[in-house]
Amino acid sequence: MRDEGKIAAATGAQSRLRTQALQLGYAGRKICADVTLALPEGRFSVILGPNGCGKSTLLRGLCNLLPPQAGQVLLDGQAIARLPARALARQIGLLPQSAQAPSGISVEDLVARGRYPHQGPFRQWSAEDARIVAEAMAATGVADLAQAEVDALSGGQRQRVWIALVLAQQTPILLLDEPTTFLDIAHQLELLTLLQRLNRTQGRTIVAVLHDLNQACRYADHLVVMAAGRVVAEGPPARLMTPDLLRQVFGLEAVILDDPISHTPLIVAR
Amino acid sequence: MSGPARITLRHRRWSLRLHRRGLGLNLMLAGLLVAGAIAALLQGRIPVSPADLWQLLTGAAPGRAVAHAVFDIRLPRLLVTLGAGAALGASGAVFQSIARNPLGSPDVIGFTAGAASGALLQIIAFGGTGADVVPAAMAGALLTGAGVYLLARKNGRVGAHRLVLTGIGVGAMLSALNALLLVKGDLDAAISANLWLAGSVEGRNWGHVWPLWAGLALLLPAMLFGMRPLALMAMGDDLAGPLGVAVERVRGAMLLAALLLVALATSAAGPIAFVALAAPQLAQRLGRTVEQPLFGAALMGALLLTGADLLTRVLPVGATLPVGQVTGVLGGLYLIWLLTRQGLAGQRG
Repeated sequence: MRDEGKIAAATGAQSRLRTQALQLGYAGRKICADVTLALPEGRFSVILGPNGCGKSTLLRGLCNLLPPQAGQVLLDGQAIARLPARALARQIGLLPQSAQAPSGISVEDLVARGRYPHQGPFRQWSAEDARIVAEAMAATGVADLAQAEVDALSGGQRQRVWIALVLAQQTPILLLDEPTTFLDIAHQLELLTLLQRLNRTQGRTIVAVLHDLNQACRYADHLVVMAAGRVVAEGPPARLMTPDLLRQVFGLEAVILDDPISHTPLIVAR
Repeated sequence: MSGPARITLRHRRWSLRLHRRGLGLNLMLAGLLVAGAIAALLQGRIPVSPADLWQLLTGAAPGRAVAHAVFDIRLPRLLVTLGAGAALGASGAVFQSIARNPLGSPDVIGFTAGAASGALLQIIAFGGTGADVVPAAMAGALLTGAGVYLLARKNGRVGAHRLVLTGIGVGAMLSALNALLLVKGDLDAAISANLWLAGSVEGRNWGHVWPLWAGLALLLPAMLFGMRPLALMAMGDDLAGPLGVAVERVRGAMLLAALLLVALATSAAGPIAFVALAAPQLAQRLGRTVEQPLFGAALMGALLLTGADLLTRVLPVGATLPVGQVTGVLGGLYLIWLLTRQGLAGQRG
């Protein structure tokens, strides 16, 4: 297909997860409209946009948590709305903003719940499950806390435990809704570095909603910029970030400098 | 802590993961239940000795009076008590898990009141007695459940808070209706209705036993499949959905199954207070499980109700102290004790 060729040329990658004229919303309220998008395979993509522009809604649509009002989300060319829930859950994982740990649960038990789509009523725990849960905890640096209660952890530790849960789900595609919210700056950077490492070493496709433009430019391979429920621009940060776009999307007057450390765009408001 | 918190049973590709302490608690509860059941069969006006029971069990006949007392009076009563307690405990575990709140119990959110409305209508308006009340109470509970479910639904989802609040509102309305029925009915009907309302397992026959136990045998194993998805849903629909849980379907099916259990229990034994609320909490705390334990709650419910019934028979307070009132006192005291001892952990959300 011509479209696919163009996207692959633009990003240097194929994409398994795409949307076609996707419209999302709740009972009579339209939030995202006409979103056609291809998320590059094996890359770290970040969705940006002002509050209320439909970023989280789009993320919920991408894993069929919110079924489309019109259009479709395609995984390998198949509409995900027609895939069985468990089959989809082995391909796409989501860390929502609102996850709540049951009180008294241990880190290991919480992470183990990520294995659910790979288990069955009579296949509740395999040696492979144990190995993958241990790996997920090691990758996120919470292995030492395995027996600790989640309630007793700090915010940064707790967020890494949640990431371990979605890692244990072993999905090639991982969606994260504002994973850095409520973390202090050091833990924000630690978490983004962790996601970048997971993307580079395990080849997982990562799509995260973030608020901080400079963090997005620094860590993402691919940016999707939204405004008022539509995608207004997408591409690699260096090419995408222009004063015009910032003015148009955020109403922000800014200059764009070269980040002296990462050599990615550095946005400074006037 | 000694040893791992969970044990895994394996056979070829099959595996079950069990909570060690929860399993121990269940075995202990089962042992206590057997003891309670034997005590319940021995206790009564016609003297039955353990030797008589043994003879009955092995097929020998120790005499017609004894056989009659055990088979026609005490065994049906015991089975109704066990079954109703188990049904209430299990349904409480499901409701509390869905509502993410211990107050989301069927007796708090109006389903017991709905069953009572059905029964009262039958007794007072149609002069029903005995077995007539069973289908009426079932219908009352199911209609109430359907009403609460539809009212609590918004945007195709049933929110935990909406469910509890809607249920409390509907329950309050139905309680008022029940009071009105009692006032409006003639004296004889009102007295017999009041007796039913107190919750009693006295004078139950095999006609009360069969529907209850058939329901339990069908529903409990089926509900066990829903407990793992429900535990995931307790972390939020947004997390459970992408983990592969068909959230609304699981919630609807589990609510229906739990509602059927409440309806069966209430139609057999009248509205029994507190078992559905206390049994899952007690089982969860004593077993130190994170999830709501279905079988633990069922066993605990059966034990609570059997214990309460034994107490009504042993206590020297007069002929008929209804078991429904005793459960309130028993379960309430124990729950208060546990709460003051352990604080409010496990009650958040």
